[in-house]
Amino acid sequence: MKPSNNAITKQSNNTIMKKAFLLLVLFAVGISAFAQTNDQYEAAMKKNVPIFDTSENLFVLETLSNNFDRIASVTKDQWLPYYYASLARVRTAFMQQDKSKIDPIVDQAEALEKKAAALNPDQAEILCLKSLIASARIAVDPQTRGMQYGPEAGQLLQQAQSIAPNNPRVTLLLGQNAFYTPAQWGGGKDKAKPLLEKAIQQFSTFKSATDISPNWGKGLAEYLLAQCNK
Amino acid sequence: MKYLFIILLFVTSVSVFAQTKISGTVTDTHHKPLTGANIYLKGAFDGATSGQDGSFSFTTDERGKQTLLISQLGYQSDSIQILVENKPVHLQIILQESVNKLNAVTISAGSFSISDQSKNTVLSPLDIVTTAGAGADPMAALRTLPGAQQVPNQTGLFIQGGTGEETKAFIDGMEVLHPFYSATPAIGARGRFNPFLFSGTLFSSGGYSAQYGGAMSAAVILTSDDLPQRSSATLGISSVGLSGGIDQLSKNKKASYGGDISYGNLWPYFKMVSQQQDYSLSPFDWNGDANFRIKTSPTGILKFYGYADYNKLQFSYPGVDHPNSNDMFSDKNANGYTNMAYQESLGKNKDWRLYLGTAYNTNTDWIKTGYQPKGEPPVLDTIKAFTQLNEGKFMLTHPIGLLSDIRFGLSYQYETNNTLYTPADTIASAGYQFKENLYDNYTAVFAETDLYFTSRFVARIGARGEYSSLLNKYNLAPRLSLAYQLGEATQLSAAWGDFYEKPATDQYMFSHPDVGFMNARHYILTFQHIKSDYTWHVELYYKQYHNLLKTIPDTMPNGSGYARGIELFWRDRKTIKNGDYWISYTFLDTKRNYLNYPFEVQPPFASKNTLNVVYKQLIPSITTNISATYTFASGKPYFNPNLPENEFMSQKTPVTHTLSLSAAYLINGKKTFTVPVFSVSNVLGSKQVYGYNFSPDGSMQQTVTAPASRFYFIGAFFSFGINRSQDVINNNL
Repeated sequence: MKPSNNAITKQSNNTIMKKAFLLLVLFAVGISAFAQTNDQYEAAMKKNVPIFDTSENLFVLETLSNNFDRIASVTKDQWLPYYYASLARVRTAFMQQDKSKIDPIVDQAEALEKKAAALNPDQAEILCLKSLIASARIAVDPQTRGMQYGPEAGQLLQQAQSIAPNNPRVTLLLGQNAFYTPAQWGGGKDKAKPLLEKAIQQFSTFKSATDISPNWGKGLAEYLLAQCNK
Repeated sequence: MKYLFIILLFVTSVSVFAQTKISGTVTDTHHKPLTGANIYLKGAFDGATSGQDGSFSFTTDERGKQTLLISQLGYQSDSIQILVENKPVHLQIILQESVNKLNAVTISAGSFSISDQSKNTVLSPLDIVTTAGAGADPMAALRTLPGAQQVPNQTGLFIQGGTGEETKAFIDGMEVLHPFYSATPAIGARGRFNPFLFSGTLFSSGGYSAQYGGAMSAAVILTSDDLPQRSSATLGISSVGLSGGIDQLSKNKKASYGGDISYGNLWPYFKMVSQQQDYSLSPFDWNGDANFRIKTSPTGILKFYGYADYNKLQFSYPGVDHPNSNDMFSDKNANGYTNMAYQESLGKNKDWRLYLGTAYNTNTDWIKTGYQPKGEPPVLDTIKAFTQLNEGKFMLTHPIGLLSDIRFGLSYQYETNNTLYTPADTIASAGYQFKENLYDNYTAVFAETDLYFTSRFVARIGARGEYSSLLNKYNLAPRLSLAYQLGEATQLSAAWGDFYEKPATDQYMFSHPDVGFMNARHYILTFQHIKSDYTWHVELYYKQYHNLLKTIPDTMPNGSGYARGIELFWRDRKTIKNGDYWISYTFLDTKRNYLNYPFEVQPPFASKNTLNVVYKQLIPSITTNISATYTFASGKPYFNPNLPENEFMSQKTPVTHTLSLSAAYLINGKKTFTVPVFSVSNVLGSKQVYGYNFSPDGSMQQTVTAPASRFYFIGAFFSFGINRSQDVINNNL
């Protein structure tokens, strides 16, 4: 046993230098690739996130969800690409005319939301997303589904409000829910208006954590408030 | 270090090369451009989304062998190995539609699916509750679908030329012996089920799975809810009674229990709205149900449903064969049903699905029937009828590939029928009693496969073998269904098969050794087009009856018959804003020779033409849902003893028209949901002639009609999230 062990040690001695060198090279390449990806990630996100808040076009939103999917497929450890990919899909779901297409899209959005939620998430933003996902499902069959998903969407927002009462998106979505709920059912413009006003005020003071963190919704709040004042 | 430097230089220099353009088009297999597909290089940010014309284009810095990924919702993702060098790459990509349970063809010949989920759904459970004229009875709502006959004076569902006994109901796979309240003379009884307990109903007017037996014409297959979304409580108050219920979900959302209790009494109603019958005891009814559901594992669920009911009524009505006397009828009924079903996935790959079920039915009727001469004590026969059914069922399901599966199992029933008949105490009967106790061990084995040849073409091949110890007979019922998808929402299906049924026990009490299973053979062709807003369903069928029970001239199993027809169903939820309507038309040509019939005739429960129009309108400004149901049925044959035998059942009743209306006003509070409901059946008060009764010598005639020209219902239902309900209950008790 011993001789053969020695033989291996000798052989190894010869290769240690080579191996160390190789490791060093790999490490360097790794750093370079990492730096490159990280830069690319920031750049790609910065390119896509602003469009997200301004576009109302179905194709643009589809493109955005694909873009965020691609970013997520490379940087698997970031929650934001999953978050935006999910959110973009929910928005396309709201625009679908063909009701049979809604559920498959929302299923995708929900799977992405779960991935985002698992990665150290901003609880309030995830709850807002979940609430939107529940609302999107109602359109498939409002009479039957309204009873299940309507209250669910509302509860998620209440939960978000208790965590982050100053988050403008939570207030906006509460206002949006009130706006689209008929007055007879406990909603209406009168209920929505103070919430939307509060949301706009919160938007003016809200500082997002980074350039690419959730910061959307001000335009929507202003649009809905204008509708309330009509 | 020199090497390192060179290599590093090489690594960084990669990005200095010129970018390469990658472009192309994405289409489906029919060369239709696909919009919104994601085309990208694996492990890189580089990619694009295909436009309206399916084209895409992007540039990349990557070099060498690369994997191009293409994904699109509803299509199978694809990957292509490409070599990226300096020249542009152009690609034509064809994506295959993804094959999954959701878009594959499903077996649908002869069936209507009612659920929130299934893509082939025709009605939702809520539709049942909001159908005018159905009175929140799921069984009554099924009568607005094609295939069903309007027979309001009899109990049961009369489907495609079949009697009420030829339709069986199943809850979570197991038979319910008495899905309807006990029959009373000339008044059809309601179904027993609470519509809110079932998430899905498959109404199959033939060609159904080999899992189910004992029904020659139709199966109503009910699936109970899984766990509720949240805890809740309900209260109901109406012109016919009071009800309350709870549904409690555990904190970890893995178990739930619930129950309802109700008391109904028609006394106040009958005081206000006079009835043809003179009630000495207005119908009253105590009813309770309970359930629990436990998720035993991520794939396992245990469900229990229990039901108990006690009701009583007594009335008299002018008799046809005893002039100057009234006929009398009273019934005291006790009914119980329990059902426990367990499902779990087994095996190393969890790909064996186990189903175990057990059910218990018990029903007792204490009936008094006879007549009361004016000013004298009544002359009444008494009948005590007790039935009990114990059932156990075992089934295994195993997938074959992506879509196909095979299932097989065993079902065992032990049935007891005890009848004690005591004729009225007259000199002639002198203490005579007729007693019969029947016991049956019934065993069935079944095997069936859903075999997908492609995602558009499926065959269900199955067989069911049955043995009854009471009849001492076997049968073997082969069944075959085919379905072919013509387009995204359109499919054509066909079914063929044998369906056996034991004769109803009260008919073969006078047993004959040859009496055995009765048989119906079905041939069904169905065209179906289901989109979320429109549904078309067209069905053609032919059914042959063999071995029906005859009682005259002798008890013999040599009756025969046939039924054939065309059925149309159209539903539209889009054309009228906030409106929804469906139209169903049934053409039925049927004749049979059974019981005491001298030859094959159209039976008295069959109309040639039946039309239903159901219309629902939501008025959002006043959150009110208005619903109207119009039903037309052409005349039905009736028996007139004054006619010679060769004109047996040759006369028909006049046609019937019924218009029913209902309105529900929805009030949504923060945690409460209140629904006041008002409904009237037969608003126009049209005369409903269901048939005629004759005295045995034919000299006296009486019209069989509805107990009252209209039925009014007023009530309010409250549902609460559980937190508030505790307050409500505390404040009210």
